[in-house]
Amino acid sequence: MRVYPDNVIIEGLRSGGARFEKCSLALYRSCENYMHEAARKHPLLSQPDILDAYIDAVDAVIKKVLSHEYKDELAKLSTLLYQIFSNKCIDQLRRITNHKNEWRRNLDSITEDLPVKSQDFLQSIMEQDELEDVMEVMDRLGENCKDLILDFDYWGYKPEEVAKRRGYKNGKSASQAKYRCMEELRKMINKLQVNKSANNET
Amino acid sequence: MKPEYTDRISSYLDSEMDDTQREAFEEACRQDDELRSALKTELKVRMALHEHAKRERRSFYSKSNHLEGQKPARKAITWGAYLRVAALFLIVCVLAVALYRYNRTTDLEKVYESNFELYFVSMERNTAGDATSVIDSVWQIAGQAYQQGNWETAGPLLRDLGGNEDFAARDLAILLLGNIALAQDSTELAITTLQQVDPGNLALKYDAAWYLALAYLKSGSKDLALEQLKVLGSSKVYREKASEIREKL
Repeated sequence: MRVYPDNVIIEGLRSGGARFEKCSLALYRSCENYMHEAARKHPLLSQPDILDAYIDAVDAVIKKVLSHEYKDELAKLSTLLYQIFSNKCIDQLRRITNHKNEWRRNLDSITEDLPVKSQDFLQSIMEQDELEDVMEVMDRLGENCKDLILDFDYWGYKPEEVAKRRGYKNGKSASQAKYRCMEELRKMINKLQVNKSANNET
Repeated sequence: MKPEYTDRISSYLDSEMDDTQREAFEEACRQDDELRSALKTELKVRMALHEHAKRERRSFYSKSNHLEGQKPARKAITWGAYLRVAALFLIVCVLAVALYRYNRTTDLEKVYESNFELYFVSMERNTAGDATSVIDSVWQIAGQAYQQGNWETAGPLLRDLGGNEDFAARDLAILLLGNIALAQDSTELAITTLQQVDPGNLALKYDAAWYLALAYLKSGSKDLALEQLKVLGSSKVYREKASEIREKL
């Protein structure tokens, strides 16, 4: 396996396109041994749990690089990845020891930055549901829409960067397209919610 | 969904509200079914996106996933370490064998060099004029040239004598030719020449065996050399030297 220096990975991630893919894979591969170490250190964690934690950690590092939050003079990419991955493993352990199902784990992931009181409130209003039902809706959404939303909401690209990546005229038209996609997704999920309520009532 | 809901919900979920605003929003959700339903929809949207992103990334990285489907990384790492040690051991063995073979060759040559001396032939009559026949004269000239180390003269004459059936000391001529070949570092020629000495020649069979053994040592053929040295076990002249070399080998 070829080992890329940090500066090459950072530059590749920021340049986007095929180089982004190549460098995110390089970063992923460069520290795969952390997973082996975690498997020994946390026997309670299954391989998919460790893999999820590792992927989350790699993506968190990528997001820090893309947002220029990462400062290479403070730590190497591998060190940062190790720190984040260790924390993610602890989170996974907590979820497992609290016997949380997939739905709850997912809900926890997206509300983890909120105060505990708000997390409790959201859990109280959210009825237990099947994640696969929601994912079926997601599958029906067009691929372009999904990629567009991920660029904005997952990777945190700016509208101009998304426009460049996805071939929109400018940042504004990329934002509008994303807005339309989100509305479409909301409509579909809302419809699912309404149907479920109707079924429960009958 | 009402547009004003969207902004409030986003602010709440993105943790952009202060404590008071957050509590007010939560209270509003408890009172307003529509707002609560919109919040639930937004949460589900985010959950769907999060899960989708996770699945996408997992499939992207699975191109290089070394953990899934494997038993223990630990084992993988241990095997890797074992393989490295085995490879190192193999390299050391190969080097040791190469070194041993190199040393063995060098040793055989050293044994040859410390033991090789030209066969001494005594010429009772010192000049060709003392010869009783033409063949005898030729032998006198060849012998003297051999003693003087004049291979250019001795070689062709000894070859003639070695092939002449009328010459009584044919085997001696061949033995001298073998010595000349050894002195000129033509080991293969020395071996083929010395092999022509009649093994039934009681006077010369041990001399021939001795020089043949030395020729084999020079060529690195240890087993063949030992075979000849074994023959020398019954020679009074060569027995001691031969057993010394056999011990060394």
